[in-house]
Amino acid sequence: MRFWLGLVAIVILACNVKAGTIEVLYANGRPPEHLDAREARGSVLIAADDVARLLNLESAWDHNLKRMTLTGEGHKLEILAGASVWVIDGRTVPASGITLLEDNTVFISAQAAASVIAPAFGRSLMWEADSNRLIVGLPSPNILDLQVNSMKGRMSLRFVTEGLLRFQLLPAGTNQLEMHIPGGVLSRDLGFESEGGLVRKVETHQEADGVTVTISLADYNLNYNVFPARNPAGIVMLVHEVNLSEIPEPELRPPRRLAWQEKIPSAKEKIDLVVIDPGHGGENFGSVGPSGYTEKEANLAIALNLKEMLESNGIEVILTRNQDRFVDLETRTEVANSVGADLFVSIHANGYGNSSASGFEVYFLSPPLDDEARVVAAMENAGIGVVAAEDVSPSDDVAFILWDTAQNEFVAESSYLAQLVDEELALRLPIKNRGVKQADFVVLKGVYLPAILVETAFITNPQEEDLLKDESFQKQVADAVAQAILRFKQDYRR
Amino acid sequence: MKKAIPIIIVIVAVAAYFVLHQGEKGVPTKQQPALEHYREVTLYYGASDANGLVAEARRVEISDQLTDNIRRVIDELVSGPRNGGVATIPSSTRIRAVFANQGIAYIDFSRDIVDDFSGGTAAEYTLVSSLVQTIAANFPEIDGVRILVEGEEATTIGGHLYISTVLRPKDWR
Repeated sequence: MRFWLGLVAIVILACNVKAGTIEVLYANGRPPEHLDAREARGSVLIAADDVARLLNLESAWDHNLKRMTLTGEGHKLEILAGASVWVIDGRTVPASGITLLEDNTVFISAQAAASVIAPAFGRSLMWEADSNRLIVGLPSPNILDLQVNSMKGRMSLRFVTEGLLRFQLLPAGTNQLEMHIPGGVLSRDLGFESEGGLVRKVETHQEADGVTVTISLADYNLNYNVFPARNPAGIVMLVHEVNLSEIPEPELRPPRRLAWQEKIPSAKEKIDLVVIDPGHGGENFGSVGPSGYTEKEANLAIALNLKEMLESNGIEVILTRNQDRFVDLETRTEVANSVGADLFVSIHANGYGNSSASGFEVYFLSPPLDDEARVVAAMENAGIGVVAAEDVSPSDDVAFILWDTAQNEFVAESSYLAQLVDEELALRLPIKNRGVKQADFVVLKGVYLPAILVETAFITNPQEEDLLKDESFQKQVADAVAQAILRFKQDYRR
Repeated sequence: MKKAIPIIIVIVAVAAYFVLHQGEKGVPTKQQPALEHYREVTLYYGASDANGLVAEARRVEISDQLTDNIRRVIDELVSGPRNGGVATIPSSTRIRAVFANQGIAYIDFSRDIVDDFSGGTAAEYTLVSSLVQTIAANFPEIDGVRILVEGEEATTIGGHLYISTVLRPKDWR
């Protein structure tokens, strides 16, 4: 009797059903697909057969009983079309959402597929109602743990991660911050509450394309800093009471929702885009060699070679200038930020007041270690401990340095890329290696992605001016930078 | 009329400065010699291989005014090395004004420092570090430098390095 009543309900329901499609994304990188879907009473419904296929389960349809059975991993789920209950491993549970029967196909709500069916089989399925997307499977977790350390007047949160992860911190209302970790996958819920702590509450939310962490601070009068840490990899947030004599005005970074956030490579689209910035140009000659060869010419020639080499390796390249023309520094930075690039490489040649100065060097940006950074560094040394003492290398020190510029979030990546470029140049160029250095470059300052500046040789040195003019040297420099970028691509885990 | 307001502010500020300092001067200091005298100062120029700085000692006439003395030392620095170092600030550069406040020296250069600068990152870095280290070495009461060009904050001198901030000796070695 109940069965027939159920069928009547379905028939009535069917009158208000609309057909459509939804998008299915695979976390493992399989190409996305579209599924037939129905919409009824505001719910999106998908065929139980499709759910079985997405989750790699067996499905069987019993026409007489109007019963759909899904099996796999030693579990069994029975959906009786129209009944108000489902049976999971012999247990009767309330049916989740609307069930619709149409031409011997059972449709169930996408939400139920994600929140009830997938977990019953130990599978992962995520339903994004806003965008009508179903995401199948999760890559292995890369946000492993949250370590909390509390001391008088300060507190540290360390997200232990697998490899370097990008992040962005934004103010989100009174005493609240939001950290976005694109591509982040939680090992579990890492949230906590702390009655008396400077951080009152942390909530972690797994979303389809990353993790959002909501951090509630005890008081607005707190200063906080977030930076990448290495050895072990992690994201460290330091919260400390503001000592007004010590720290200048608390600075909230403007909520810059920048291009890379929208365009960050996801499982479905992998973007490999590098912005190459040939220094100077037009009326701005840069340094000039003793025989009159200009830096702007050398920079462009090398950049064009580099573009060609990267493109032949499947990496897309955008140049901040592709001819001899003037481009101001702000525009160069803007190009880097607006095209959703993965890396920014500025190409320069060096110049000095003594013609004997020689060699190549590779820079990444470090803002001067100011007083606030000293406070933070002191805190770190006092036991919050980003890096174990024996692990300290010059590039690790950088993790302590501040974030009043966009580059701060990318210090670890930028320094690593600089290291690789320096190594590759050393293998190829017949000139002195001046090493990896840090300085506060205008052109790198506002760049919101890993960024370096390469000083290829001293154009003011007659021998090196000749080299810079030489096409094979230009190619060697370009080849070195290209190889370094390819190595970086391989090593760097998003 | 609107244009006049900033000028008035500047005049008032300058007047206030002098009045205040007049007060300081008014306190009789103990037997300060009226005559100016010489002091040995350390100037920093670029090393020939562009790796760091080289020191050069020089005798400079000094007075009892801190900002005057800073000006004289930088004038001396701008005049160029005599002992094998590499010049850093273009020799055409004039110092328009020097003032000091809370341990920061503000040096206002003529635009020649930008226009006549030539070189790359190495030259630019050396220019800034030679200035900052020279001031730090001779004026212990100063622990930071701000560079102005024609009275205004400048972002960069040669188009590479960001200088629109307090430049600390520890950051510019």
